[in-house]
Amino acid sequence: MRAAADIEKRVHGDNAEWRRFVLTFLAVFGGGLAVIYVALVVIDPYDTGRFPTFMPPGIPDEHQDVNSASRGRNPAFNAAIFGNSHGQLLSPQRLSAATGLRFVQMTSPGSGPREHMTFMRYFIAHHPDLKAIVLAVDRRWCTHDPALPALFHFSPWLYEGDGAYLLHILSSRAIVAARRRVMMALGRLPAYDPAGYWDYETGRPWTFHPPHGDEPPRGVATAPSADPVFPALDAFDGILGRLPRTVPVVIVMPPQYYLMLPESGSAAANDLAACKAALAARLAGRPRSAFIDYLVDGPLARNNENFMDMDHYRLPIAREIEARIAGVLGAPATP
Amino acid sequence: MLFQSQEFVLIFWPAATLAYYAAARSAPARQYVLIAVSLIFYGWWDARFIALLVGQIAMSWIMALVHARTRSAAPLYAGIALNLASLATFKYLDFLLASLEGAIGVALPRAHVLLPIGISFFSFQLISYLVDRLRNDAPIYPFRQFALFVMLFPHLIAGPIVRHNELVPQFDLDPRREGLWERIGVGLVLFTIGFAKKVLLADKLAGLADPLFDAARGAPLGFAGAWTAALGFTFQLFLDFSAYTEMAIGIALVFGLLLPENFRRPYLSTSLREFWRRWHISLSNFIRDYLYIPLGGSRHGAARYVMATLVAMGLCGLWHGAGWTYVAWGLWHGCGLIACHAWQSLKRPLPAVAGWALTMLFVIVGWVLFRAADFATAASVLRSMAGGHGFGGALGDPGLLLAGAAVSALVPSAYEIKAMRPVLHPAVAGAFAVLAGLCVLEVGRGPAVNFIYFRF
Repeated sequence: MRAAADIEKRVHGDNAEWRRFVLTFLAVFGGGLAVIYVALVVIDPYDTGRFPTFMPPGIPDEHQDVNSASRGRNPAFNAAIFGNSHGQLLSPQRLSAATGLRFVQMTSPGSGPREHMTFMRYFIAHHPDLKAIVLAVDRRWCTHDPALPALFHFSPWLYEGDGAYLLHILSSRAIVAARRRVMMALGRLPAYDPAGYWDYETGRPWTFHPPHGDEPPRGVATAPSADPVFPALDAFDGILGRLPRTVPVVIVMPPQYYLMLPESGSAAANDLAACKAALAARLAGRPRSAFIDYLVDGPLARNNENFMDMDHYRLPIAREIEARIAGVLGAPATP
Repeated sequence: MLFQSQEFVLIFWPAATLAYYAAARSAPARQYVLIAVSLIFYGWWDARFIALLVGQIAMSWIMALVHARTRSAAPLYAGIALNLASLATFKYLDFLLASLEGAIGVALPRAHVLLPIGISFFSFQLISYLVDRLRNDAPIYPFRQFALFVMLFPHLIAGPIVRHNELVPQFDLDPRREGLWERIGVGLVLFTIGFAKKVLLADKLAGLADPLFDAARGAPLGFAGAWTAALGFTFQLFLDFSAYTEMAIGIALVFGLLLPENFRRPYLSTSLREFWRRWHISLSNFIRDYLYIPLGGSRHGAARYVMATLVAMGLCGLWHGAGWTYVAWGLWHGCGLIACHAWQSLKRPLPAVAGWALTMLFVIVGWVLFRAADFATAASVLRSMAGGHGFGGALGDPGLLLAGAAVSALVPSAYEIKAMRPVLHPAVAGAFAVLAGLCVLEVGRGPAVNFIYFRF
C-alpha cells in the first residue's frame, strides 16, 4: 500500500515536473519568436515601407535580391535599370547626368526574366511619375520554358503582397538586416549607395584569356526560328501593356565574347535572331524607345580587351552602351 | 510540407495537436482528426496522389476482408501484386524501360511518371500487412484504424516503416493517459534535436558534398576533394535521415503514439553486421522478415545463405532508387555481410578499433556508390580517394566535417534519449526552446531542403 502511494507520489511529481518543462519550452519558444517577429515587422529590415515604422529609410543588405525592395520604392528616382550582371556596369549616375532623369540600378546578378519583371512591376507600382525603363537582357529572355523559373537566390515575397511578406519575414537573415538597419539609423554603420551602382571591375585584376583554336566564322543568322514562342517576352507584354505609351523603354542586349555566340546558321543562331526581332517589335511605335543589339559578332566582340571574361564586358564598353541609351532617351531639357 | 518548414512547425503541427486533443475524449473522433491532418499533410505536395494513397489502402483492406470471408489466399496475393505493380509503375517503369533499351538496343518510349512521395514506404507497409495475413499473423482492423496505420503523417513519407501490430493497438489508448506531459516533453526534445541536426548540420554538409559530386561528373576530384565529398555525404546522409526519424518519433509522441526506432548510432559499429542492426532498423527488419528469411536465411546451407543475402540486399538497394548504382550498393553490402559472416564464423574477432575502421571504410565506399550519379562518377571519386589523381589538397571545411562526425557519434539515438532520465529543469527546457527557435529562424532564410529519403 505504501509502495503504491510512493509510486503515485512519484508519478504525480514527475507529471508536475514534465508539465513545467513543457510549459517552459512553449513559453520560451513561442514567446521568443513572437517578440522577434513583432520587432522585425516594426523595424522593417528590408525597408519595404509596408507598415508604419520609426526607422529612417535605408538599405540594410548588400544583396540586390533584397535591397531592391528599398531602392525600388525610393521616390528620389524616376527611372531604373533592370537586368543581371550583364547590366550591372551601367552607371545610374552617368545615365542621370546624360538624360536629366534620376536613375537607380535594379539589376541582380544571376537573375533572369522572372526576377527582372518582378522588380519592374514593383518599381512601376511605386513610381507613378515613371520616366524611363532600361532593360539589359541576355539569352535567358529567349527561353522557351513557359515556367520561367527563378534563376538565383531570390526573395519574391519581398515584392508581393503583405500576406506573403508576413509569412516570410521571420528569419536569421532578417535579424541581421534589422540589426544593420538599426546600426545605420544610429550612425554606426555607413549607408549604402541608394542608387545601387556597383562597379565590379575597378580595383580588381582581370585575367581574361580566351581559348584559342580553329574557330569557325561566326555571325548572326536571320533565318526564322523553329519555335517563335518566347514566354518571357509574352509575360513582358503584360508589363508593357500597363505602362503608359509615353514612358520610353530601352532594351539592351549587351555584348559577349564572340566565342559565346552561336554559329551562324545554327538553330541557336536562328532562335536568337528571332528573339531579337521579337524584342524589337515590342518597342515599335513607343517614343524614345529602342532595342540596342550588342550581341553580335564583330570587332568589339573579338577584342579580348573589351571583356572581363567570356560574357562580361568592361567599363569602356559600359560607357559606350550608356551613351547609346542616352542617345535614345535624349538629352536633359535646357533650363 | 516538410517537418522543418516554418509552416509545419508554427502552424500545421500546433493546429493538428490542438484539434487532436480537442477530440481526445472520443477514440473515433481523434482518429478521424489524425486521418484528416495526414491527408492534408500528404496532399500538400501533390493532391492528385491522395487518390493513389487512399486507393492502395482501400484495395489492400478489401483484399484482406475478402480473404477473411473466403479463406482463399488469392485476394492477398492479388493485393500484394497490385501494391508491387503500383510501385513498379510509379517508381521503376522508366528505369525498366531504360534497362531494356540498353539490353536490346532498341529505342523505347518513356512514361515520365511523377514519383508519388512516400510510395516506397506506404507500399511496403501494406505489403507487410498482407503477407502477415497470409501467415495468419494479422487481424482485420476497422478501416479507420487500418487507414490511419498507413497514413499517419509522422511516418508516412519516410518511415520508420511501421508494422500494423506496433501501431494499431496504440490508437485506442487515450493520449491523455498517465505520462501525458512526459510524452509531450520528450517529443519536443526529440523533435528539436532532429530539427537542429537537419538544419544546422545536414543541410550545410549537403552544401559541401553536393557541388563536389556534381563536379566529379565532369572532371576528377583531387584526393582531399574526393574525401571531402565522401565524408561530407556520409555524415549528411546519417544526420539527415536520423533527423527525420527523430522528428517523426517526436511528433508522434506528442500525439501519444510511439514509433519504432530506426537508428542506434550506426557509425560506431565495429562490424558490418552490427552496422545493419543499427542503420535504418525498420527497413532492415522488413528485409529480414519478408525477404531474407523466406529466401532461406542462414539455416539452409552456405549456397542458400549467399543467394538469400545477395538477393535481399540487391533488392534493398533497388528499393532506395531506380538505378543500377543503388543495386550495386546493395550488392556491395551483401558481399560485405557474407564476408563478415565468414570471418565471424572463424571466431577470430578483430580488435574493436580495427573492426570499426574497416567497417567505416567499407560503408563510406558504399556511400560513394550510393550518392554518385552513375558508375563512371563513382569510379572517378573512388579512384581519387585512393590517390589515383594525386594526393594534394586539403579537406573542405574540416570544422563542419568534424561537427558532423561528433554529432553522428555522440548524440544518443531517439530511444536512448527517451530512456534517459533528463534533467527536468526549466533551464534545460529553455535551452531546447532556444535551439528550436534558432532552427526556425535559420529555415526562414530560404526554401527548405528536402530530406534525402523523400526521393526513395
